[in-house]
Amino acid sequence: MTRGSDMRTMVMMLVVVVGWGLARAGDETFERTVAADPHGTVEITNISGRIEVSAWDNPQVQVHAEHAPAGQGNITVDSDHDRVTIKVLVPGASFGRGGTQLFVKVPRESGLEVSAVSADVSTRDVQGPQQLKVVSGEIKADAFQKDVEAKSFSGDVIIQARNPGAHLRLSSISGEIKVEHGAADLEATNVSGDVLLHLDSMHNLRVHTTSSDVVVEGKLLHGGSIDADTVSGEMKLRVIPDKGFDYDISTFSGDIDNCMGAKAESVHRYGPGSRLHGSVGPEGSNDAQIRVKSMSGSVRLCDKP
Amino acid sequence: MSAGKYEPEDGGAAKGTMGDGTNGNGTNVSGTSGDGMRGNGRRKIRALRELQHEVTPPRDLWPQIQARLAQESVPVRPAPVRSPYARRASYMRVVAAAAMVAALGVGVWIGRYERGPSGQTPMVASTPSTNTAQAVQAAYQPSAKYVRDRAALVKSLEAKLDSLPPDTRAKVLASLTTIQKSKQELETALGHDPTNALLQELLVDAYQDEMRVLTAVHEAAANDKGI
Repeated sequence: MTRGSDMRTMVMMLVVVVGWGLARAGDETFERTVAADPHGTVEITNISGRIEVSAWDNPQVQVHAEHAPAGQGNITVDSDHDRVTIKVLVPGASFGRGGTQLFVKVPRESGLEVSAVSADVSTRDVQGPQQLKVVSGEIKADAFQKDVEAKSFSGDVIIQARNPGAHLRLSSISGEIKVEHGAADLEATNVSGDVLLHLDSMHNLRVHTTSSDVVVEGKLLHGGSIDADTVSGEMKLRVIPDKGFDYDISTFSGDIDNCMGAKAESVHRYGPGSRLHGSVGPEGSNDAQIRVKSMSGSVRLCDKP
Repeated sequence: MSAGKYEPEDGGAAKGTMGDGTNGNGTNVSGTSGDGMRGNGRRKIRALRELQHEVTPPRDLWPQIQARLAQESVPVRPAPVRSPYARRASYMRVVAAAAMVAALGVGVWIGRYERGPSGQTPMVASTPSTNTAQAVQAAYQPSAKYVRDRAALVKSLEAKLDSLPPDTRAKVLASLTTIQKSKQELETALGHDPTNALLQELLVDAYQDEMRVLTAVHEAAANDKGI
């Protein structure tokens, strides 16, 4: 390497460091703590960046923001009765500026209403009802017994159902939906992103997709039901019966496969369409139901781990 | 048509005999007035016995008819005495002819039905449908409100998409394309099997999915401005 080349490299590194320093010079941090109802609602909106919410046992809401937009009043925290509202206001906002990183601590039993545009959202240990809406970003949340509604436009929705009584309504358009552990009621809607449900147990499950692949694994509780339909997605269901279940699978042109030894029958003598129906478990004990419908997607059902 | 009044759909004058006993020009065509009991100063007849027993025609035509018959001297064949079998055969021929006409009519009707009203597109046929949209209309007719709402959402879709981040915009467009493709596949399948309940249900779901995405795009764009 020549001496001139070394000089050029050093100058370029200097330029990068000075530029980074200038950029950081505009960054601000924001801190605010307000009193809050332990069972109240916390509303958070952010247009770009990240929102991380965690629970604590104080009757307060603490807000810490990094890379906050310059200027006073661009982050507001308002408290009114049982509602605390946190807003990041970015006049003339455009995407791709890095955005604001919001770290919020809320009372454990608080309800949450989060709305973000180009920001990832995560919630941890919050046990109140949660309503999470993100246009372009990922949602990660812990779900307990209260309702959790999570909608993402294009990002993934990842839920840890930490209570078997969780009630979940999840939807995306092109992101993946993933749920782990158990849920009493779960509704998942997607267009093209996959739906992956690895559950310890489930009671009522409803899955609707257009072309997404669907995987369901877990124990179907006594008296529960699974309703799943897709146009062209592939469905794999590994459902362990609590006592037993009836199943009814219909497709127009997709294949039906199973590990119970049952044989799908043709709906029409000369046309397309096949159906597989039957029961698993001792006679009289199968009060759970599985119904699957597909146009061209294949379906596989198995009752063994 | 209003009560008691006939209004022709083409707006022209009605032709033929009117309900009031005229021919449409006000002329009485029956020759008697409405109750048939009075007219031209003749006496009223209240019983059959009051009618004349014999009426002499003004001109006797029989001599001329008789002369004409004699002139032509056409041998008159006696009416054939037909056996019960012959009568039955004749009856069967009529029945067979009627059956043929009926079968021909049914065939024509089926042919017209399969070709559709325009006589071009098979609606239910063993060969694949080439005009699936027409076939599906028989199974699923979106309401006027749906069509109106969808048109409004689609009209402003491009502007709304522009307000989304580029990667999200690309994913949403891909998803809308997926839904559109699914709708077309379902419509094609319904073209082959118009009464398939499974396909109809999935098609309705696909329409709802499309509306859900279109609405979500609008909401997302509104959120962007509202924050």
